[in-house]
Amino acid sequence: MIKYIIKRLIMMIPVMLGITLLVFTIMSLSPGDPGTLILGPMATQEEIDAKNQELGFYDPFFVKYFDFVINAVQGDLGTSWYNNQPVTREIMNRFPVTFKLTIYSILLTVIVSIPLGTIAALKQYSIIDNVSMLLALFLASMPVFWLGLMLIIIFALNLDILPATGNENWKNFILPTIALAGSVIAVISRMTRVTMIEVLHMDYIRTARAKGATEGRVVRKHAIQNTLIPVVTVLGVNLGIMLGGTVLIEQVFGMAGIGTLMINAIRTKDIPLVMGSVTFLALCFSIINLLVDISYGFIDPRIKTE
Amino acid sequence: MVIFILLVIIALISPMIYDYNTDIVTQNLRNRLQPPTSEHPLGTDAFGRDVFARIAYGARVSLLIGFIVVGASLVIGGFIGAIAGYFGGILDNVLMRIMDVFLAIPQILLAIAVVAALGPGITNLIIALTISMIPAYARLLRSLILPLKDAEYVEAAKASGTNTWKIIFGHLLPNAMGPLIVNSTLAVGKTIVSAAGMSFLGLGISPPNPEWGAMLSEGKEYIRYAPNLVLYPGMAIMLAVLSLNLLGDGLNDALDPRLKQ
Repeated sequence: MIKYIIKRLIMMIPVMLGITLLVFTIMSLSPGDPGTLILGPMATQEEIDAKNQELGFYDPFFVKYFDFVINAVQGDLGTSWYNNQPVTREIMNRFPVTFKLTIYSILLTVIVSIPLGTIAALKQYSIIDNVSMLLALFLASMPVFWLGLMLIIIFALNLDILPATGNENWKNFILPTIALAGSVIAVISRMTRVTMIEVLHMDYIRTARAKGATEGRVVRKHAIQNTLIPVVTVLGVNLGIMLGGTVLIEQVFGMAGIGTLMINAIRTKDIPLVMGSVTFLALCFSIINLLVDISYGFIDPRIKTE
Repeated sequence: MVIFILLVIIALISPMIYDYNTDIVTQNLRNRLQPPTSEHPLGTDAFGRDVFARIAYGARVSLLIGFIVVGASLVIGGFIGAIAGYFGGILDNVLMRIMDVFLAIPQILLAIAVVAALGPGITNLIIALTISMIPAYARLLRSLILPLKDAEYVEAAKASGTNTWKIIFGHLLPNAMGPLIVNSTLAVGKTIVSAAGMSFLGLGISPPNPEWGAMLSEGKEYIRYAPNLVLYPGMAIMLAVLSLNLLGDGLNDALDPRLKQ
């Protein structure tokens, strides 16, 4: 297992290099230059050129990229063009909000959708099954940010029981978490239901029943584990969508996370900050994928022995 | 299916009912934030424009973006996936590792990065969404081609000296059509949501053009006084996506004979 984890960690290096190269290439298409932005409209062309020269803006592409990677490995993602702060510090200041929002949403998704999907599968075509799957169908079609706006209208403006914006205490996180998890809950419950129905028709389930195991034991001991493998795969894919969704949700609920940082950076044409945020979120996504892969080992003993 | 056809019809006939310049973009401040009346079935927005007319026009924009993006990424991504799957070897390895890098960045984030570099606007939005969708299609087509390329009819075609490109596009592609159609239907829905999200963030289509995401972004400012401004455009997105999802599910059942039993 440890060997497998180390192997996966080593495999992450070329992927991260690829990601930085890709983001770097995209960003170098941007027409702006740092000198003009930092020195403002009053600066002369000579001053701007001097500043650009100082920042290495005129260096060849691969020299710049190489510098970026060397610094990034040491935890330095550059300096903001806008307020001259280190990008890494800006991101770390905002990271807790995005991190909490994502973790809460993942937890909510797992707590709600796996039991819901299981119940729906066990009681196929019952009222619970039909109602929850119809709900899931609608939920899966809603844009996350619209769900967020609807929750604000209902719970913050009409009922006035939860705050609409901010990220000061736990109450601020309730609505954003629900909004962010909503569509993923829908996808995962449907997935759990379909897989569980398939698994329940397997021979080993019939064997378990035949040897007199109670229905609860059949589900808990034999069916759930086999259902979880494809479900975790789909969850892993959806975590990327969730991470992207935080950008929208933070914007809707006015939360000071990495998403709002990035959008503001785009508005002010602060390229190092945009690049740093994208790289950082992509790194988070890679780590999440790694964790998903490792979790297979715990769910499926067959993978561990390989 | 019915909802989807209805949406397409609305998108097609909206320019016959409403004039773009007078009804869609011209501000009429005396009429701002009106509740629904017979003249304005869904009320008016903060600039006195008819919400229903703007949603109807927005359907044109959203559906157009959805189809262009999916079409373009299907062609480009599909081509990459098809040659990677068919030729295998180093070419396959190189192409797929590049696609892996694209897939390692969450889709909307990749689109945001592209728009951040190129600037907002409808063309750049389409480019950004297409780039972010290409790797998914490359993967899909490769996985569809792989099990097919050793089939007997491919051997036969090869033996009879058929041109390689003709084998890929004439023999293999038609056999992979079912999953492609289903996937593309769902992808149009996803694209509509992504496009709305980008416009909502101010990175897509900008006001005064009628686009559902941009309307939501505008309406958000008046959420306290006129919640219907965020209600209706969002419902339009949901209905569009819902109808496409149902259509995709239906096509999936229809095209997959294993499920017919």
